[in-house]
Parts: sequence; C-alpha cells; structure tokens
Amino acid sequence: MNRTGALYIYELKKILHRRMVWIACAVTLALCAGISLSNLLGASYITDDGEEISGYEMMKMSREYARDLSGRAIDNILLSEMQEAEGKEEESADKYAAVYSYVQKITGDSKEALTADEAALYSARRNNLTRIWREQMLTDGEITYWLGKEKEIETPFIYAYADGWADVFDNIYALNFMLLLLIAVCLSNVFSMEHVRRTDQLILCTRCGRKNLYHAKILAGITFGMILAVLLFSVSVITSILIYGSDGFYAALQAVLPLSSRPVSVGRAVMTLFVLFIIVSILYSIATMFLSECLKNSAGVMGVLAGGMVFTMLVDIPYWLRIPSQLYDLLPTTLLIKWQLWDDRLLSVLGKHLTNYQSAAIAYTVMSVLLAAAGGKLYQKYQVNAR
Amino acid sequence: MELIIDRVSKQYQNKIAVDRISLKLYKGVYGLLGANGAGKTTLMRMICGVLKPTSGTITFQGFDASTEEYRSNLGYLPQDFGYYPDFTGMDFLLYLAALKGLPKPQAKRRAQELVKAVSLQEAAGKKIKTYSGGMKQRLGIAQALINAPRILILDEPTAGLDPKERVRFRNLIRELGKESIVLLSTHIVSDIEHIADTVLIMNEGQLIFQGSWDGSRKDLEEFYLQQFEEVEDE
Repeated sequence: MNRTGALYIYELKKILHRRMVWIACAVTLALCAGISLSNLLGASYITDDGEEISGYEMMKMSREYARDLSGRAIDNILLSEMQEAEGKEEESADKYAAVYSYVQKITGDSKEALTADEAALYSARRNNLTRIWREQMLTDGEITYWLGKEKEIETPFIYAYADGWADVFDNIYALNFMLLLLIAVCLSNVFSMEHVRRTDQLILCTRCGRKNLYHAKILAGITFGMILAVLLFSVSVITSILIYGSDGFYAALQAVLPLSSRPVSVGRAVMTLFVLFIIVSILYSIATMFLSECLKNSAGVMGVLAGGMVFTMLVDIPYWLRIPSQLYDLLPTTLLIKWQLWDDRLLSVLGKHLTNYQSAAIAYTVMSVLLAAAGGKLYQKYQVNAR
Repeated sequence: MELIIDRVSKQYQNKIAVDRISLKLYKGVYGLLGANGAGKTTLMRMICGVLKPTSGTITFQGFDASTEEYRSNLGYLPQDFGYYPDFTGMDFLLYLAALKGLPKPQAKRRAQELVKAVSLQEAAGKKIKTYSGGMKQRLGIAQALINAPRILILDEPTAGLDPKERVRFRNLIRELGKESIVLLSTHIVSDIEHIADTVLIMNEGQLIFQGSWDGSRKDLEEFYLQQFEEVEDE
C-alpha cells in the first residue's frame, strides 16, 4: 500500500520538531516586520514652524498631502501648481512634495523638475527609456516590443499615492535573502539527518523507503518553503499597509515606477512578485534538499547557500556583456530587486518574447524539476557503506 | 520460502569484505558468528538491499534484493540503529509501518501488539530521547517486526539487553523462526547456542562453517574458537 500521504505528514513533523526551525522563523519574521518600521523609527524632521516631529508623524503628514493629489493627471495644470508651490518654500510646497519627487524620478534632475511642462516631462521619460534600452543593449526586436507596450500605457500619468506597495517593492530584495537563509537553516538537514543519525539503513530497506519517501520528503520541504514564503511576504505586505496604507493597488505601475514600460497595475506587479517569490521558494527548497543529499552535511549546505548569496550580492556583470549579464540577472538572488521591473531585456523563444519574470518563472520551474530528479537518482542509488 | 544468496561478493578498493558467499536460507533461525571485520554486517546489509554486491545475486521468491517486492518481506535491525529523538516510541513504530506500506489500522494494531511484546507499553508515548539503551534496542526489535517480515535480519540484536530481556528475546526469535527466515549475528555465542537451528561462521569475508547445531554436541564457543585456530593454522 502506498502511504506517501502519511510519510509526508511525518516528514513535516520531522522538520517542525527542530527547535532551531522555530527560533529562526520567529527571528526572521520579526526582522521582516521591522524592515518597514526601521525607515521611520530613526528619523526625525523639523517642520516649517521649527517643531521637531518623528519620522512616523512626517510620513503621516506627507501621506495626507499625497492622498489629496491622488487621481489627478500629471499634466500642465498639476505641474504648474507643483512648480509654483515648490518655489514658495512654505507649507504649500510640502503639499506638492510627492508630485515633485515623482517628477524628479522621471527627469532625474531637480532643476528640470521645477521647469518641465507636460511635453518636456514625457519627452524626458522617453529619453531616459531610450538611454536605458541602449545601456541594456536591446535589439531592434526588443525595442519594438517595448514601444508596443508603451502604447498601452496612458499618458498623462495619473498620480496615485501607493507608498504601501512601493515599500513592498523596496523590501523584496531583503525578503528574498531572508527566505534563502531561512530555508537553508530549516531544510538543510532533511536528507543529511538520515545519514548522520544512521536512520538511512532502516529507511532504505523498507518498501516505500526509496521512492515514496523521497517524494514525501521533497513535497514536505516544498510545502514548508512555500509556507515560509507566504508568511514572509504576508508579514511584509501587512506591515507596509498598516504603516503606509493600501492606496494605489489599482493604479498604473508607472505611478510607483515611472520608468517601467510594463502596462500593468501596481497590484498586478505585486501579485507577480508574490507568485515569483513562491516559485523561488520552491527552487530554494529543492536546491537545499538536493545539496543536503549530495553533501550529507547540513553545515556544508548552509555554507554553500550563504556563500552563493554573498557572491551574488558582491558581484555584478555589466550590461555590455549582454548574454552573461542577462543570465546572471535571472538568478533568483539577483532577480527579485525593484529595478528588475525596468530590466527590459527579453528572451526570445520560438519567436515569442518573454520578459525577465516570465523566463525566470519557466527556468526556475525547469531547474526545480531537474534538481528534484537528480536528487532522486542520488538518493535511490545511495549505498550504506561502512562508516 | 527460499532466500538465495548466490556467489555474493563485496569488494572495496583494496579489501574484499565478502568473498563469494553462496547460501540458501529457509524458514528457521540462522546464527551468524564471526570476529569484528569478518564481513557479517556487510553481508547483512547486502541481504537487506542497502548495499549493492560487487557481484552475485540475492533473491527471495524470485525477487531481487533491489526490488520493492523483496523489501516488503524484510525486517532489519542494524547494529548501529538510528532513531528520531523527538519522536515518541509509538510515532516511530507508526512511521516505520508507513514506510513498510502497512495500512493505518493494521499499523496501529501491530504497533500496539509489539510495544506489549517488547515491554514498552508505558514508554510508548514518551520521546525516544528519554529511553535507556535497552529500551531503544527493544524499540529497534519492534520496528523490525512491524510488518511481520518473512526475512528478519538482526545485527547484534541482544546488545544492550539485560539478562531477563535477552531470555524474552530468545523466545520471541524462536517463535518467529517457525514462520520466517531469521538471520541474526552476535558476539554472544550462547545466544546462538540456544536459538539457532543453523550456525554460520564467517572469517575474512568467507563462510568457513555452515551446519546445524544441537545441544548434544560439544560447546559452541569452543567449536567457534576452534574454527579460527584451524583457519590460522592453514
């Protein structure tokens, strides 16, 4: 009788029985909640009246001003109001600070932000996009693809306060590393434990010990990794929303990232990141368990994963090395970064263009399947030799 | 019921751990004796399918040792048997039962019977990390029996058992030998003297004696030592 379901429950129990797992999860979730708070806790500001206020008070004030402007088109009227207010150096300037900051993101220059009209603003954006595309060494086909996408983006942009979601984009990089470390700590002994504890010889001589147990272990590890990903993402999103509010979910992505050419809403981009985060968690889980079977040593597994993580933090491949750079930027530790939302390099497969997120999702799924299959071969061929 | 070991060898880089052993085992208790490094554990691991022979085959009812069908007939207590310290004794048995493919109701019933048979009823709900060495050994014996195996391989099963437990264990093995093939290795010659229908003696990877033993013959320990002296003289 196939008891894979029962074995799956036991394998989950084995993971959850470790005190280290609970401690690591608690610390990481606390850190995750703390990322958004850290921006507000340390800072303090002086108002026009000379009063010192906390970062949180300042954020609340700016949020109210920004909310007042939400839904307005960034056109000549709003730009003139903003430029007039910014010139006055009074409270009215604070009211338009969010729009000023947004325009600055497009122009890249504070002076230009104070003079640009609607035509100049969107022309500056187009010039910036052209520069980015040139830097990223896009082919004519890729440029045509993005120009097509640009046509789907309505201008003038509609200003929307969406700092809660912008905070999620900002935090995804840290979340990704937390996820990798947490999975490395919690799943590094899934297979190695059996060899270290010498339970392997008991397991491998049983009817379901070679095939069904492998599947149960992999499924349990993936489930655990996915739960961690959902928890981390949820804690981060909930914290960001509690602090900044949930406004702007349906706004165009350009309200948060004006240089992105993706014609999607902020909410859709967040959901895309969430799905990718889940897929990444599956890959991390399987890679960790594969290493656990390969190395038969949990410290070794954590070392390899942490080393890989630090390597990708320190090393960057410039855009001009187009293929190595594009492949490198598809690594899960380099992909989940805010600016990848305006990485416009595409992968051409059978005449279809895939964005970095689309190709990463496919590549991670294929890699997960391959690693799981390779790990299965290793596990099933394992021989209990003299120790 | 026939377990056939046909010209089985295991060679490591510069050592032959098991050297062309051929055996046919039927229902009954087989006692495997041999000094440390004689190849007993290697032979047992190969019979259990956790170690692949360099050459030769091991089959039971026509099924090779690498098949699921073969393994479903197997119960194994390794010499250095591992456990999960945070599992309770009962959890451990139910986990092994799931690994052996037993349906849940049967697994529960069998686990209850076995904790009683190895006198672990009171400790069954406690974590294994709180068990004494003897209790762990008894749990190991129980897990080997959970699927009512037709081939039972016990590597040093009496290690850690007190004299009273050892007597109980011998009786249990004697009963099991009536329906199954039981192969047990031990350093304690008297264990084999009391329960083995057939004695197997290994030295340097080879089987140097195979035969039945009855109480009317001379002392087994003396005979066992004599076999080694003869090998050394040659």
